[in-house]
Amino acid sequence: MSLDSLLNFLYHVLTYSIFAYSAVLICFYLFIGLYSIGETRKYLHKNSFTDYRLLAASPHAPSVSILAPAYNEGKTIVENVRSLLSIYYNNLELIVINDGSKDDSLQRLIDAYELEGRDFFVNYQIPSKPVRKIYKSSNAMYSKLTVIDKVNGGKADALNAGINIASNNYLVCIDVDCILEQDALLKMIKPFLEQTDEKVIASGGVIRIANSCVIENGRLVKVRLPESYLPRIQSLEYIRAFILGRMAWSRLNGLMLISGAFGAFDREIVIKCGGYNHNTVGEDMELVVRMRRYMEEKRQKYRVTYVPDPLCWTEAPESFTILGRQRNRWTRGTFETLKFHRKMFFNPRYHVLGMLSYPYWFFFEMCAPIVEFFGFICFFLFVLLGLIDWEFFAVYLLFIICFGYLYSAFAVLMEVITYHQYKRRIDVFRLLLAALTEPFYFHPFVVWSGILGFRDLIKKKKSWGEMTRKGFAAASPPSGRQTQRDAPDGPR
Amino acid sequence: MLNHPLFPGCCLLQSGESLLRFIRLRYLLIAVEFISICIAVMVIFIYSLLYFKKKTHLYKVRLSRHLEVWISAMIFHESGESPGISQKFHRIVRNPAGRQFVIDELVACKKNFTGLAAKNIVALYEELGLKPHSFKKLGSRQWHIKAKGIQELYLMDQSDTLTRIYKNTNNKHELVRMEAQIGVLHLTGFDGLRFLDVISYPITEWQQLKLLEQLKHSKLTDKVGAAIPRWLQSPNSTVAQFALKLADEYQQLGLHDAVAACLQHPDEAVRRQAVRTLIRIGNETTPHWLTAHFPEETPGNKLLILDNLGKIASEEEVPFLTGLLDDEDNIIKLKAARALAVSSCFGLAILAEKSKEQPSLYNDIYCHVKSEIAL
Repeated sequence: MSLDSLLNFLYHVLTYSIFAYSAVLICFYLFIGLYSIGETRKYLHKNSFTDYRLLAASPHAPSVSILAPAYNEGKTIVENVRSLLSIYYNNLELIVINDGSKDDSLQRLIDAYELEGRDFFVNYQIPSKPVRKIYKSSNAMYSKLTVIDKVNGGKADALNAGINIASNNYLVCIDVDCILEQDALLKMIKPFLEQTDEKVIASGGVIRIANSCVIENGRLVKVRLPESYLPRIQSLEYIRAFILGRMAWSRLNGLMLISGAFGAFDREIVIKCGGYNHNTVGEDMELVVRMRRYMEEKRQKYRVTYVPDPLCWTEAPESFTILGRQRNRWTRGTFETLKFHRKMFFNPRYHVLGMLSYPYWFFFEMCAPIVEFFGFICFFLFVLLGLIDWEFFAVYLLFIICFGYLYSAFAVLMEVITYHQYKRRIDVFRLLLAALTEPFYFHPFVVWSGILGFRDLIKKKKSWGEMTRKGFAAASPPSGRQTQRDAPDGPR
Repeated sequence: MLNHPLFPGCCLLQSGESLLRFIRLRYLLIAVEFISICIAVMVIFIYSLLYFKKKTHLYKVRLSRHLEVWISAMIFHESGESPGISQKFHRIVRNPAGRQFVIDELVACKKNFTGLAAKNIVALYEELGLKPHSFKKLGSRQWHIKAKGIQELYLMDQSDTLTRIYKNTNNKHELVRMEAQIGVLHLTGFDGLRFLDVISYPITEWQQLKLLEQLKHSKLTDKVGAAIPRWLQSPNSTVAQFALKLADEYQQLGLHDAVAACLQHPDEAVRRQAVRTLIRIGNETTPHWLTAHFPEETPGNKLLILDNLGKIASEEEVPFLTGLLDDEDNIIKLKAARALAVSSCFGLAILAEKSKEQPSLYNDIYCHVKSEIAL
């Protein structure tokens, strides 16, 4: 075979592979969009009969431990904890884990909540860095609160320490600076009470973008579409992911990810699985995959549920630097999780998880930045060599952009039909407008961040990266606080 | 994330020669046109929906303003007779959207009132001719409409529809079944629990919670105490679980032994509830039942037993609890230590003695328990 024919052969293989890849992805998007409709309808109809107050006050309601890791959150920690203490649920303990903060977070908590150190036997069922001291309040008003002071070990380690201390059957892991709706916990716990022959092992909630929203005393008062471009486009991204993607995967019982910012878990299964993994920056996804894998290997019927109500509001990155770090970390987290559980790849023993969810994540979430980046390189190369058939290229590009826009518009439509968070027509218009710009401005940046994520993987970089965030407290000056997270865990 | 992998696709397809055999430019243009039309339709639909939602909202606001005043006048009308319905309201209920809104408002009001006010709401519902509309929903094939119809009828105390509602207590659809079960209890109180004899579907914990809440509004009858042992034997384990909750909630002390027998139930959830109920209706033999059963239990249920044993154990359980201090599970050790400290006057002394054996572990447990007891 001559070099020319070999190159020709490779060229054809590549072209057809990419074409097949694109066609399958389009089919997936069509399927996800349409399949999510039924599940959303069912949830809304069902929810209209639910009186959550019943669960809040009932002595038969399950006991819940909220785990909120905090690192250098001194400027806002007191208010954030106050907000969490006001959550509408009776049978509750709130465990705040001070993960070796270098600032005065702990002292502020001690002063504000009249905390006293207690002798406490910590059973390290899951490995975590040593706990220095456990604090409980001497004031009965704050009897639900427990504060753990531990040696710094990262978010996964902090959550593991919390799991070791938690005494209740269900764990709700949240980011301490998230704003929760008052009935968020009730809605998250209800799926566990509805289980029949399938054990509910975890339940995920929707994360929405709180930038530009009005927040008073740790509560969301008014929902507004973010003023800045980046948070706005992320709002669209989150709507698409949570209203369409998660809903469809939930219906298939194929969810692989519950956002680290707000998720509920069955404590027993979490412990049996060994808790959060310290060796990945995508510990939220890794835990869910491991729990599912455990249940599959034990041949137990199970379900990972999803609550589509907007329950948790978080601050999205407003600068490209921070957004880049977030997407970089998501890429690394996805890669690491898929690598740990590669055994499941197209393995029929793992049913939907192995045959559908894992391959989808592998091809269309993990590999997508590489495929796209490769495409961009080829494009520039072909432009330089004058090989572009501009007419075909223009029509094909138009087709892709139109399809992407159609998908976004459909997500906006579903949002308007269902939760209708952005009431003003101008907000909907701005969302639709943002969708137009996405492929040219936001999306290439996301691809580039993914590539940097792969670069960091090769360099074996393990850090989360640091960020400064504005914080929600409008009355207070920007906190400039640094967290061990670089940005909230969103839809990926 | 929405990926656009077709970007590389179109880059690689730029020369187009090979794939043009499959994708004709003309077809691609048709696809673009089709998608563009879909987008336009979708955007128009979004804005029409926004307009419609706003219009509906304003209509409801206007309607509720009238309704509030009018319903208030009606429900607080002391004679028990309706003051007469204006033609305007008859016009409103002729419009399906208006009618549903009026029904929803009446249902919401009915939930919040009792006595004469509640009777007046029901009278108003009947007088406006809304009952046939709710009844019609009962025959719907769509589960959510059927469930809604059941809810409206029972909340409006339409006892004559009981038979129809009862038939749905074993409906294949979960929500219809749930509403029918609540409805039957609403209309007949504890007597309505007879559906437990025949139900073949599971009663979820959520539904059990709702049923217990509904029963709080009814007067307990002797029949229930007699029926619980039968339900405890039900092949449907969720019925047994619910019966245990009933025994617990209504303090059926006489059922102690029947409840204790459930500790042998094959379903872990039933055994767990049996432990909880036994603690609540316990007598002097309960600790014996629990400790005898302890070794066969699952880890979760073992912890539950130990959590509660402290409340009811006596000196007789000291050897059992002391033995557990050597269990391989540290949590069992801790919980046994706590139960020991609470139930025996020598408990702390035993723990102090034990802490000398292996200070690194037992001293921590001892300090933990001491700190807890001091609270």
